[in-house]
Amino acid sequence: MKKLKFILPLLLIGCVGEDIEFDEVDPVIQIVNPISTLEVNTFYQFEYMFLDNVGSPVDPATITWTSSDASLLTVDDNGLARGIDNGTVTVSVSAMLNEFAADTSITFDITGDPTAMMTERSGTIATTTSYVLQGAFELEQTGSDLTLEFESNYIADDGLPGLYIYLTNNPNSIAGALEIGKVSVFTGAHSYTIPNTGLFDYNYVFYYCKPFNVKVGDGLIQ
Amino acid sequence: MKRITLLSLLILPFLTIAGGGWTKKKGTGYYKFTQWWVVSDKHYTSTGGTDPNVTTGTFNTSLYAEYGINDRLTAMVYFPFFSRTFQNDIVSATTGQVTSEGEAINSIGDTDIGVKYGISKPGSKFVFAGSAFLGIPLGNDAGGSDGALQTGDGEFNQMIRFDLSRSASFGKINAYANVYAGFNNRTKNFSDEFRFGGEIGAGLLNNKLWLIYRVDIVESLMNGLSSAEGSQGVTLFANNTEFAAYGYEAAFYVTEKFGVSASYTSAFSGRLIFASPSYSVGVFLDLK
Repeated sequence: MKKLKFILPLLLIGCVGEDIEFDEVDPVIQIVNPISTLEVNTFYQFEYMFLDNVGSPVDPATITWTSSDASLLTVDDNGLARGIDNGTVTVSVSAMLNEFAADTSITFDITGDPTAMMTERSGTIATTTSYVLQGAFELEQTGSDLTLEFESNYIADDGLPGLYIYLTNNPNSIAGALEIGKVSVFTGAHSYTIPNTGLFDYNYVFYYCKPFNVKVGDGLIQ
Repeated sequence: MKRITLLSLLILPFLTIAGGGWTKKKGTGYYKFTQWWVVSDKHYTSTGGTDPNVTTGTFNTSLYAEYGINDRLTAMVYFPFFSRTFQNDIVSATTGQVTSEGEAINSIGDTDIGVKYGISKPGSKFVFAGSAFLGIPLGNDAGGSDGALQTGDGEFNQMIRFDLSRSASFGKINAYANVYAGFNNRTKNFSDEFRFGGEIGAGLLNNKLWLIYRVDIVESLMNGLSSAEGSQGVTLFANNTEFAAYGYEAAFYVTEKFGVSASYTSAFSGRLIFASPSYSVGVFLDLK
C-alpha cells in the first residue's frame, strides 16, 4: 500500500483534467440587416439576433419593437416597418429570455431615395497577451461573402506557433466561433474572404493560439 | 568515481549528457530508470513574459545508460521508451459544458545516442572531454486533433559538446565542478542552438549522498523558420525556444551500486517554453 500511495499521484497527474474558462458575456440583441436610409412609403422587415450570456444565438421569450416617432415610421410586433414621412427616426428592439435581457436601436433617415443597406463595419484589433497584435480593419459585405481587410498598420507576433483568426460573438471563448484560417501574414495590409457570412453575424475579430489553447487578442467590430 | 555517474543525472530529457569531463573506465557502466515530468498552465512568450495556456503536461519514462568502451571513450544513450503529453479539457464557467476537448498522446520519445572522448591526459587536475550526440526523432511531432500534441520535435539533430571538470576535497567532503559549451545543429528548418552550462556537486555522508546544483542555458541562433511558420508544437518542442534554467538534484547511494535520485528544475528566464518547474525521480545502477 505504501508503494501505491507513492506511485498513484504520479499516474494521476498524467490524466486529462479540466481548466475553467471564464466565458460569460452580457446578453446582446442585434439588428442583423440595418439600413442607413429607408424609402418613404415602403415597408422594410427588420431581423434580429439575440445572444445569451455565452454569445450563443437563442430565441427570446418576448421581443418588443418601437419607433421613436409614429408619424414618420411605424413598426409592428414582428419588426415590419413602414416609412410614412421624410425625417430621422430611431427603431428600438428589446428582448428577454429568463434572466437575460438586451436592447439596441438604430437611427436612419426616411427619404425619397431607395432604401440603402449598411455594407461596411470596421474596428481595431489589440493584444490581450504579451504577444504583439495590433491593426485596424474593415469588414465589407460583397454578395453573400464577407471581406475582412487589414490596413498597413497591422502587426502580429510570428513567434507564436499556431495563431488562428476567427469571427465570434464571445471574445472570451473559442466556442461557437467561425474559424477563418491560420495566420500567415504578420505585417502590413492583407485580406481574407469569408464565404456565406453576414456582415452582422459576428461582433468580434478574434485571435487564438490553437496549440496553447489561449486567446491572443480581439477587436470589436463597430 | 561516484561524481562521474552523478553528473549524468538529467536536467531535461532533451538535454541528456553525462559525466562532465570524466569518461567511464573500460567495461564499467551506469544505468538509470527515470520518471520525469512537467505540468504547466503558463509559458514564456516570445518576448520573455509569461502568458497562460491550457494546462499541458509531458511525462517521460526513460532509460539512460553509459558504458565505458575503453578508458577514454564512453557510449551513451537516452531512451524515453514511454512519453505522454496531454492537454486539459476547457470547461465553461458559465454553462459547465466542455468548450474544448482535452487530449493525450502516448508514444516513444525522442532519443539521444552519443559518445564522449576524454581529451585530457589521465590523471590531469582538469579533465576535458568532447562529446557528439545524435538526436533521433522517434517521438510523435504532430499528435492530437490539430497536431499540437507532441512527444518529439520531428527533426534529426546533431550536437557537439565540450566539458571541462575539476574535482576537489574539502575535509571529508568531496566536490566537483563542471562547465560545458555545445552546439546543436538542427534540421527541418529548426534553428540551431548554442548550449552552455555548469554544475557543482558535493558528496556527503561518505559520498552516499550527493547534492548537485546546475545551470543550463540554451540560446537559439534564430536561423530557422519562425514559430508561426514552422512546427505547430509548443512548450518543449517549439522552434526558437530559449531558456536559462537552474536545478537541484539529490542522489543517494542505498548500496555501493544501487541508488535513488530526485530533481527539481526551474528557469530564470525563457522564451516559448513552459514557465513551470519540472521534476524527476529515478533509480540507478552504478556498476564500477
